[in-house]
Amino acid sequence: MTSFAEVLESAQSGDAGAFGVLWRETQPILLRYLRTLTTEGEDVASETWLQVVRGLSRFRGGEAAFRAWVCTIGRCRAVDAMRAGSRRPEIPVSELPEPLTGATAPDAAAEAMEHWSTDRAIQLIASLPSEQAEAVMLRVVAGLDVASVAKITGRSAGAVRVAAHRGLRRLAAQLEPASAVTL
Amino acid sequence: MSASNGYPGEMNNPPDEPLPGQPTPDSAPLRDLLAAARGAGTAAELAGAEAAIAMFAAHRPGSSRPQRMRRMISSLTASLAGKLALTGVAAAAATGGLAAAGFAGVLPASLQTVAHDTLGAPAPTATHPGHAAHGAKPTGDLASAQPQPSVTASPVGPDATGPAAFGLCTAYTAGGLSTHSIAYRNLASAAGGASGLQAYCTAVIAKHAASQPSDAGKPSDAGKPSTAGKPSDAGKPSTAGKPSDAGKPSTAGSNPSGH
Repeated sequence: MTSFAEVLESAQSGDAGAFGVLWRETQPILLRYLRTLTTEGEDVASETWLQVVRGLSRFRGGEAAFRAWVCTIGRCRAVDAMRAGSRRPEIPVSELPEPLTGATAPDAAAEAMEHWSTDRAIQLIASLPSEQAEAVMLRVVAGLDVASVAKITGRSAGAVRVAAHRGLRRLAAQLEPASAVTL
Repeated sequence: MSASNGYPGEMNNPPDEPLPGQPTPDSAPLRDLLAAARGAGTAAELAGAEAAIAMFAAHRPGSSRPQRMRRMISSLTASLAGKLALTGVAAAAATGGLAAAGFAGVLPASLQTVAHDTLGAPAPTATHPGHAAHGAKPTGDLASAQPQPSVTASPVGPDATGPAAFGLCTAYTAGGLSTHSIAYRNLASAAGGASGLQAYCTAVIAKHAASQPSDAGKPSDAGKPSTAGKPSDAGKPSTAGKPSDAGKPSTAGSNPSGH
């Protein structure tokens, strides 16, 4: 097993293959996170990686810190894109990738009975109120701790906890609308 | 960074929202959803790999080494194909994660950790989810771990007239360059328009091939030291080789990123 530290060091010394490993491991996380922020995820991700490469030799930290760093840059670039574009979009369903089922108005509860595709799962999380979507995506998908998410989003740790909690509650409720969620 | 502008505050949430002190039910459907959300990278998500490698090759520290880059691109393509073949299997298992490829444990926050932190389930063995998968903690906190990249620098993508041209063209001819990408736009610009892309890339790749130092298996080339014996010169085609200019494409301050 190749350690993250070894891969990072190789990439920092200019090894394209090592950078490819970092990219493949992080790009899906970045794209999924960006879907909570912008419809221009692909372009924003490209801009993010350009900045990552430029700052890579100065990066110090472990795997989680690297993901947090990439997500931090991604958020900055997404904010730039939002300012340049118009406003933060509520992502229109029509612009989202076609789900495997072909449904455009998903019945989450019914779909939960079937197998979730990654894309549909991300789509459902991204449909949460933005703050909750961001918190859930960074905590669950990017695997970052509360403190890191707080720094990335510029919110307090308490606000991050609340947002993640409410987001997960809301998702759980959507998945089980028939039976009221009880404690 | 006043990134929170336009974001609704927590106070705007409906009053019937559950309070954070209340545990969320340990929902199996929710666990399935979150497992899928953490699934292995999809083909669409990884489609830009070659362009990303080309960008890295153009911007990484040190000089570009096109021969090595070509090798890396082909090996990446091979591993990508292998991974995609596995993706379906992993997805079917519904437990496969991004950690399935590359270095293990890329997603250290296991569902158990998430369940602990947000659902009130028992804690996993480590209490620091961000670092649980690898014993070593990052040397600093998030702030100190961040280099201070030039946030205001205009993102421009790889410069398609410089050393990245070969990599971009390789990606383009392999069908690996999204027409929506900045790299594609830059490449089309270098080619004088999208219609000239094919011819441009054919020329770039041919020039690159001609510039490679001859190997021992080609005695006929060995007889021409003036062309084959100068790989360092040959690596800089006169039309493509102005990296010093290529490094400063954003002096106008405009933001060419696609919107």
